[in-house]
Amino acid sequence: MSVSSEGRQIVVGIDLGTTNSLVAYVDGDTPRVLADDDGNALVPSVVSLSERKPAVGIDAKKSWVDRADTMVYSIKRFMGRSAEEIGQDRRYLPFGFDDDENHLIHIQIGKRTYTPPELSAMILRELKKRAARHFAQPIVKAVITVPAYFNDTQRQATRDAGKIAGLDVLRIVNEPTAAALAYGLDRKNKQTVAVYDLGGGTFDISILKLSDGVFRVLSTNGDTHLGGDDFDHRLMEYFITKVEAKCGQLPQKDARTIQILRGEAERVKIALSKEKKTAFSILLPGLSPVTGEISRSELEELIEEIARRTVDPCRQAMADANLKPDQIDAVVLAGGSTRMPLIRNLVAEVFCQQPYTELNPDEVVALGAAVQADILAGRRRDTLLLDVIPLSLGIETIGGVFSRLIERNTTIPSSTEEMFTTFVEGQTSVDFHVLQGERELARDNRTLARFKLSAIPPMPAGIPRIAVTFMIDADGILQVRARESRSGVQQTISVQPSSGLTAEEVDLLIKESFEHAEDDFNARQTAEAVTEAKTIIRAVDKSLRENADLISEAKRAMIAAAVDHLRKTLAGTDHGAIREAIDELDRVTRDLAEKMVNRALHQALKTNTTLNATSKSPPGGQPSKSRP
Amino acid sequence: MTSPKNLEAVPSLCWNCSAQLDSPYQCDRCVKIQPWPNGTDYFAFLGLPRRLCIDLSEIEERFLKLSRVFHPDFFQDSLPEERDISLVNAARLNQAYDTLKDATSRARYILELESGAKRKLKKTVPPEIAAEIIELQEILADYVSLQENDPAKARTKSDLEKRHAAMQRQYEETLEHLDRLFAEYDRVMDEATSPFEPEVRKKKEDILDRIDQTLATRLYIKRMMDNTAATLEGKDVSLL
Repeated sequence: MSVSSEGRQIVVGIDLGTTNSLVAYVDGDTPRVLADDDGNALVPSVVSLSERKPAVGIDAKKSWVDRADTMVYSIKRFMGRSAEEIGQDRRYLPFGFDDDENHLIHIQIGKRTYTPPELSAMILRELKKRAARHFAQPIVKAVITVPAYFNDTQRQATRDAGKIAGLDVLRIVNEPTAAALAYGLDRKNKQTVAVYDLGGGTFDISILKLSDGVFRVLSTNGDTHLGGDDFDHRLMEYFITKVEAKCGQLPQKDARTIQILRGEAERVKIALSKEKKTAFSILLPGLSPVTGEISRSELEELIEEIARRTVDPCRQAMADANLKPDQIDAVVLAGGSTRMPLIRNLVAEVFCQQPYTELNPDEVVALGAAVQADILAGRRRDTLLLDVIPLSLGIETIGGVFSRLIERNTTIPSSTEEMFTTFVEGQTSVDFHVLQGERELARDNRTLARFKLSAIPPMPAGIPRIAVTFMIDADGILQVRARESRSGVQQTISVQPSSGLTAEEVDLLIKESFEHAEDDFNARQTAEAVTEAKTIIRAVDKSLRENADLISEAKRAMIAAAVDHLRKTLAGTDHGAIREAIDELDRVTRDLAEKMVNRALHQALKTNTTLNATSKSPPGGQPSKSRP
Repeated sequence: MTSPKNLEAVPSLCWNCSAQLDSPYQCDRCVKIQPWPNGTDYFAFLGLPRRLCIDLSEIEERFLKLSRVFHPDFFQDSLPEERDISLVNAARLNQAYDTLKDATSRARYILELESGAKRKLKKTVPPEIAAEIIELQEILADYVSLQENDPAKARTKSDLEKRHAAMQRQYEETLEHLDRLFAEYDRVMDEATSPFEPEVRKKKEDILDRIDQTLATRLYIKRMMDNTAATLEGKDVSLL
């Protein structure tokens, strides 16, 4: 199905961002982003869930204030998160959360609730549609990027979103790594590069070594809840104090007000990356208008504390890579927030050099994802990405201690084995608690899975020899095996962290989505078949008019019947039936087509013109296709 | 443990087409990658001599070259057997590189290979630095208990900074010491006609023992440095 005209598989790269999303592919040797008809490559990661007219992207953003209560955005910040992890965010968002269910986040719009993967899937479907239109065929395979510092639950939520959107997600790639791929694609010399990626909701820092097409990640660090959204929130607070000072009362906390404040905050923030000062005006329902001016330095004062939170991860990443700033050859910027002068100065300060600003920070991640997609499609052997796991993996051992088996920043794939034993006399089973994180105590880290190794023959404490093997593949999926070597009992599990959705829920959503996908696909197939049929009918009518003398009366009747039958099928939506009718018409007109070619040939010889006349389309449209 | 020389002498066959293999990595005839041969250690697999002194750029070059051969990204649509080989080999290759690129872990790995089993690194405090450790612990405890405005705090701080710098030098010296031991070990092995001669074995054991001790000393100095740095930054650390 997903074979392009050259018989190659199409795999696209997708940057599923907090604020904007993009889809890209590799054209020949060059990665390119796919734009809409108006030339917009960015699809705002905004969904409007109005019952009358649900919309995604630019269409959804158009009703930012008018349909404030149907608006959902910044979904990425809630992927794989529990209700208590959202923190202050809810104050600045027009939608509510339904925390009733056990720890899972559900976003409430009207009477319905949605999970973050479901909402992300709507954005992915939009990107998928864009790609399908570009390639004129359904797209099923994709590489999707995530922040390097996403934990396994957040990655799984992204995978689930892909599945729900009907995508076969070949790989989840880390965003800064993707950005490095885009940066280093044409650079064959050895160099060490840092990627500072500050997007709408997340911050990552990765340090890579580039040598001759191999991109090796040395270390990575970050914060999955730090980005442009936080700057917007500070500005919204600033506006609220201005409104209060002018109107003597706090603005209402309704969806409309939030949308007005947020829209203005975003606009002002972006303007102040270019201008030294800008005017703002806030028109809230029922309150007198509040206008004023804000300078870049005022904005910087508001957000500096948040921006500085990126410094420690940068230092930690350098320490983990065992590098000093002067050993880093370039600092590549990714993410829209890196357009802010404050951020650029901060980067220059931390890395003791000016950052590299030649690349479009909005597109660089998607372009890199397309390169990785190209590698996985088997089309590129000169480039190789060696990525790492961002967080350590291990098991809980006696006393609630977290015992690490694979350290953070280990290159994947990776495997390791360690020996453990029992603690209690005659113990016949051992509980394994698989965790992810950097804290010393198991309870401070994130649970990935639990399983039990049982049927161990009773032995004195400390005698059983239990080999625990961790194997992590290139996709970052962990498989854990525990084996007691004296008795040979063993247990293997593939750790599939939950994204907040149960497997059944994901399956149901996938099913729904595939049914829709089928509808979309059928509609397009039908439309194409109808167009083709109409062209063919016109051609046949013309040929019959001009060359009726070439065939018998009976043959003419057969052709007329076939045309009639084809016309009837056009009324329905069954593209299979239309195709069959086209083939039938093609079959009955073959004779006529051959005779017409001969006639044209003779005429050409007679009139001594060129043989080009034979290349005129014979009736039946494309007879060459069905002939051997 | 088989030495690389012995390994090369054993002819092996391709798992897929049974052709005789010229390279342990890939079959010349059917281009299929080959599983990691049983009993092959990291040195042998990377095609490096089992020596303690190794040129880092050489390790890196081999690692990158073999990554290009084995990485699973290149086998997305291959046979399941080949995908499995790719995954296992790439995982072990990553482990091999991690182990060999760092002098300390390389030394520990050789200790393991030589003693035939996982040899525990010495856990006891090396006697030559025991007194230093106790003294440092007392100073660190003092520093933590002193009030910010106490002039003794600043004095202790500068004392700790000096000690930290001294430890840094000591730490670097252990590396030089290790280098000398590595060279000595490599020389003994190169000169020996058989590694099993009693005299060679004794010499070898003796050097490995000294390497072991030096590694333990290194570990303790590193911990003292880390604790000092953390205490000066105001972090709460449990001392040694």
